[in-house]
Amino acid sequence: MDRMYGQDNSFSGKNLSQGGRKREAEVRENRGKQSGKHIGFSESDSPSKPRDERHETCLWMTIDELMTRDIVTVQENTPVEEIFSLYGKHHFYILPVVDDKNKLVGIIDLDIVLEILLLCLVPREKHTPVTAIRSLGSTAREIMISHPVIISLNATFKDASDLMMKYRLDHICVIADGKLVGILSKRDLVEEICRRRKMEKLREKTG
Amino acid sequence: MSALLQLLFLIFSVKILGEAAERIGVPSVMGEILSGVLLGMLFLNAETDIITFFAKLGSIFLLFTAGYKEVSLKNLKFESITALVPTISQIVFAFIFGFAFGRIFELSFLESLFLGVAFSPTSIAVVLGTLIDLNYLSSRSGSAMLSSAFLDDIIALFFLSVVINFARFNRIPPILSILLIAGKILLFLLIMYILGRYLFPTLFIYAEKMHTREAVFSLVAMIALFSAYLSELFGLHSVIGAFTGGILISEIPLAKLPDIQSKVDGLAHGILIPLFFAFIGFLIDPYALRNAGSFTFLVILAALTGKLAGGFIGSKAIGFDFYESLIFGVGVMPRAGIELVILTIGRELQIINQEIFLALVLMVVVSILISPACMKWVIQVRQRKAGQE
Repeated sequence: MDRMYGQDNSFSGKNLSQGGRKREAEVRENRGKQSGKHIGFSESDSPSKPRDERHETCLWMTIDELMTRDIVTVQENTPVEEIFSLYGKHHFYILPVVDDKNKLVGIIDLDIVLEILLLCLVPREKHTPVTAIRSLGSTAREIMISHPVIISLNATFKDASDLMMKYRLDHICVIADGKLVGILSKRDLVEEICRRRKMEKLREKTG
Repeated sequence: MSALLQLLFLIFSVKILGEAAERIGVPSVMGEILSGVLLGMLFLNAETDIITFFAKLGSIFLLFTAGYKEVSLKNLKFESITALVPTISQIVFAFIFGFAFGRIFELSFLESLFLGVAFSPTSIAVVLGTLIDLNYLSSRSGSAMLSSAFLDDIIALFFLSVVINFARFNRIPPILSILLIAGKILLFLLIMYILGRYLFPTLFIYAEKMHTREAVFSLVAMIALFSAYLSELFGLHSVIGAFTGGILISEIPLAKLPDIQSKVDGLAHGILIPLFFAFIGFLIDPYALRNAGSFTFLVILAALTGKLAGGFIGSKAIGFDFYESLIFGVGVMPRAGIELVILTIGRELQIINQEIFLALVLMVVVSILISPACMKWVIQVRQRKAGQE
């Protein structure tokens, strides 16, 4: 686990509701800045590996190297209002809910938030007790989806892309030893491929 | 050829009439029932076998999706014992009203028991729209209704499985048989639990890796059919198994992928469930309605007042004020999906005759029509009162 949190993103295991709010906000800022250059981040992560030589092996690289590690999480008892303001401030799609041991217990996504905020506009086919109960929820636990799709840290690029393309998933939570270690999104995959293509072109030019 | 045409007609008319119903402000199930009535009138030689088959699938998938998407065992946790009081009270009252009604009209023991069961379920979805529109969902009565809704269905289905078994005896069976029935139900639940806990999750992991198209979706459909079949083997009705199967896979991440959910929805709510509602209409003889007299009226009255009184008394007992209790009582009045499934089962097993069936279907129709309006009225009166004070 240490390799996850030992870096500058020691925050990902901590929690908004646990008083680290100020630091949380700082990290958020950083994340905002970093979001565009996530690859730079992962390069510094493993500088010893010259990536361009592994172009063909792209499919077999583990998602360990691809995923976003510095993610914002909330705890089960985080109030809904706080979750809304998080969504108001930042551009993320899913918000993992973890327990005090950083074990993933559920996720909240934009669809859920939108359904709660716009309850009066929810289509009639969704007028179900589940939607109604969720709209009354006051903590993360009561509104989250408690059965998120997960992928193991050792899974490969191919595993992830299979899942994403087959079931139109945009974001998958990455788990190691039952604990949440990151989120992998379609964008991460696309960015990785684009980065490789760019490197390839550069190499052709120079060499 | 004619069967194709009739299916086409049904799917077309359930959508059009369902839409028409929604537009005039009543749940689409009304229009869907009506389209079945139309089919009976327009086609003289209706393909009953085929329609019945689709309707059966429809009822299985209705209960399956109810378990798969709507019931979450998490939601069954009540904050306190007192929160249970209104729920239990309205179910008990409704059941007693049904049973007593049967006895007063000198129906057989089994018919009376069935009436009790048929009076018990609630379809909260019918009034949810009204509650949301009037912004009343977060009130005490609103949340009490929601927690009530889940328990209601489960209790009604449990009663149903008992009554179905009693149907073979046509009286209170000997104590040994009752134990046997209880044993069978428990054994079925145990087997389903073990499968749901250990086998199904593994199956989904394999299905996800398959290259065949839609393997995961097929597995979901197979589990629906398998659990329906298994429950029939145990002498329960297929819909009870389907409901259990739905609940069991509702917490398996791969079974609940949004993509898979929308496919199950498409099959169930797009085609099969509307066909089931149409089938109900098809079973109604519109000309028999003319003869529907005081008996029908009294059935409707008893079914609605049973819920209203039970809900009112139960919520008053835990400290709701007059209007809040009234709102809760009105909120648990409507019946829809599960109720209609129970009715067709009663008819199919010949527990109830055509006249009672018709009366109960009319009761469902009336409850759907008046509950939202009553709800709106009570809430507005309450708000006016609050405004004055």
